[in-house]
Amino acid sequence: MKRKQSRIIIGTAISAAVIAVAIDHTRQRLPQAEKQLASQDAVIIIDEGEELPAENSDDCGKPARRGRQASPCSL
Amino acid sequence: MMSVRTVETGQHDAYWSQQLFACIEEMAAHDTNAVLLALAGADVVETERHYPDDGLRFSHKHWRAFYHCHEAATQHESEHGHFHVFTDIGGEQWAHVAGLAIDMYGQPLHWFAVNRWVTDGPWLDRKQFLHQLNTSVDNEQDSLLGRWLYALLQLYQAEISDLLKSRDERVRSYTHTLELESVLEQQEIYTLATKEIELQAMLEKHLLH
Repeated sequence: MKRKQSRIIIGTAISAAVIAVAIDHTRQRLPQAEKQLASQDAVIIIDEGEELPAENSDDCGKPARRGRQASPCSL
Repeated sequence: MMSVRTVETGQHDAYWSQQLFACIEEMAAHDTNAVLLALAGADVVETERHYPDDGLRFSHKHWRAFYHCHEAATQHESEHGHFHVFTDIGGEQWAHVAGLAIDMYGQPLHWFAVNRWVTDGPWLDRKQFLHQLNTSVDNEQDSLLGRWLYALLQLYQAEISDLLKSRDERVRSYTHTLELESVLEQQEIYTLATKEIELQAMLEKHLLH
């Protein structure tokens, strides 16, 4: 009976170790995040004297569709 | 393939622990993790950019996710970035389920729920979440990342359900002074609830007992 109990305890310890080792192998340093490149942002060129586009409207003067700026974690 | 409806809770947790651990072992064999898979070898991680580039769909395309990072000041101090998970609620609408914060070494830190303005789209309550999860099935054809994420959602469904409950209680607490719609659009209110993840303890609990 004593031997059987020992086996169960050792078996459990090994299994826990297997889980720990597997998780540890997935522990890999991630590359540092860098600020989004400027080239990905939309560039609007406005000629001298030209009217600035309204901040909250699109070309048709309707409210702008919510983008990632307004909802930073949207799809 | 397995429907959650067909199994008891204990079997459910044991099954999804096995599925999750199989994914972890597969990642371990290649010295990788979920985030590195999402980044697909990208040398530079750009803040705000979604990874993978073409998005991630899993569970027969009824679930979607992406990984991204914000500038450090807007994140938890030990967080590298997070996955955002969405579910297909029909009518071409996707509802945000939860965020999954990840540390600098690609390990899950916690689940979190955000205010509606953060992700936009329909508001998913906990009953809908459980319905979505319990009527979906896994797909062996999914990528390793998709299978990992789906197994994690299934295994942590009780915690995510509690997370959504805490989120809604927090929202309700603001409605004493503000209209509900104003609360949901209030940009000062970002994270509404979090639930810690102890992955090793969770796997030990279901795989060793």
